[in-house]
Amino acid sequence: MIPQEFERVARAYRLLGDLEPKHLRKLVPLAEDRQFRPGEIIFKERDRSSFLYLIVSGEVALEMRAGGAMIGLQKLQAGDAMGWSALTEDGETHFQARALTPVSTVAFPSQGIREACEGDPEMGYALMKRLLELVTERLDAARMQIVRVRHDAEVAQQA
Amino acid sequence: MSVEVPGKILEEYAVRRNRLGLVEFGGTRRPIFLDLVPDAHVGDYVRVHVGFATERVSEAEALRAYQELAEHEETAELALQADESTPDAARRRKPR
Repeated sequence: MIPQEFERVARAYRLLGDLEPKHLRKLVPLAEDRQFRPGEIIFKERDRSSFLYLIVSGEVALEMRAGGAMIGLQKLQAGDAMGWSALTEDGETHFQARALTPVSTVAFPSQGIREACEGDPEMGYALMKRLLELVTERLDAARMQIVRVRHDAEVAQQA
Repeated sequence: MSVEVPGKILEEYAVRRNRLGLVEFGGTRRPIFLDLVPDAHVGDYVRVHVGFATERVSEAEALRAYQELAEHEETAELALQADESTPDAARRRKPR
């Protein structure tokens, strides 16, 4: 029987774990272990995104400024990626990421990962496909959150 | 200076589409991906980066790395003791 810890680790690393070894060989040497303390800001909104992060353990709040206040958008956990702006031309972040607990990540420097993707388009495409799946999951979760908030508001109005 | 220490594979498992191993580094045990070292199995030593074994190393090389780490730690401790005995360190220890 597979120990539960191994299932957890395989899930946390799924962005990389699903790639072919020939692609992993190019990506793994670029990566760095980066740790954050509870409350630490991992990146700010409208910052230059220096890293693409894969969360290995811990929880992160994604937040944005609205009407002068920071509002919580989503809670990310092991297996989620954040800072994909690192892969875009302007590299500007759209949200703020704040560690809620001790957070452990595998971080890819933006320039290094962009160069690796451009140098090996097959690997770049494989990574983008996996990232897109994670982004889609994230969008679905955000939609569900909107539906829940609207539902709660309607129930409160009827009461 | 940091010394990279190889780990020893104690157990291995197929999980999802990956192969993971329980790898021991001087008393600490962690699950590590073994997909990049297809020839490494239980009892072998591997070098690890961000959770992935990147290279298989011989037992002799692994033991040499452990020895270097022990010497490095000893040197670091001596350096710390020497620093603590300097007048600067004594000043730093003075209560304000």
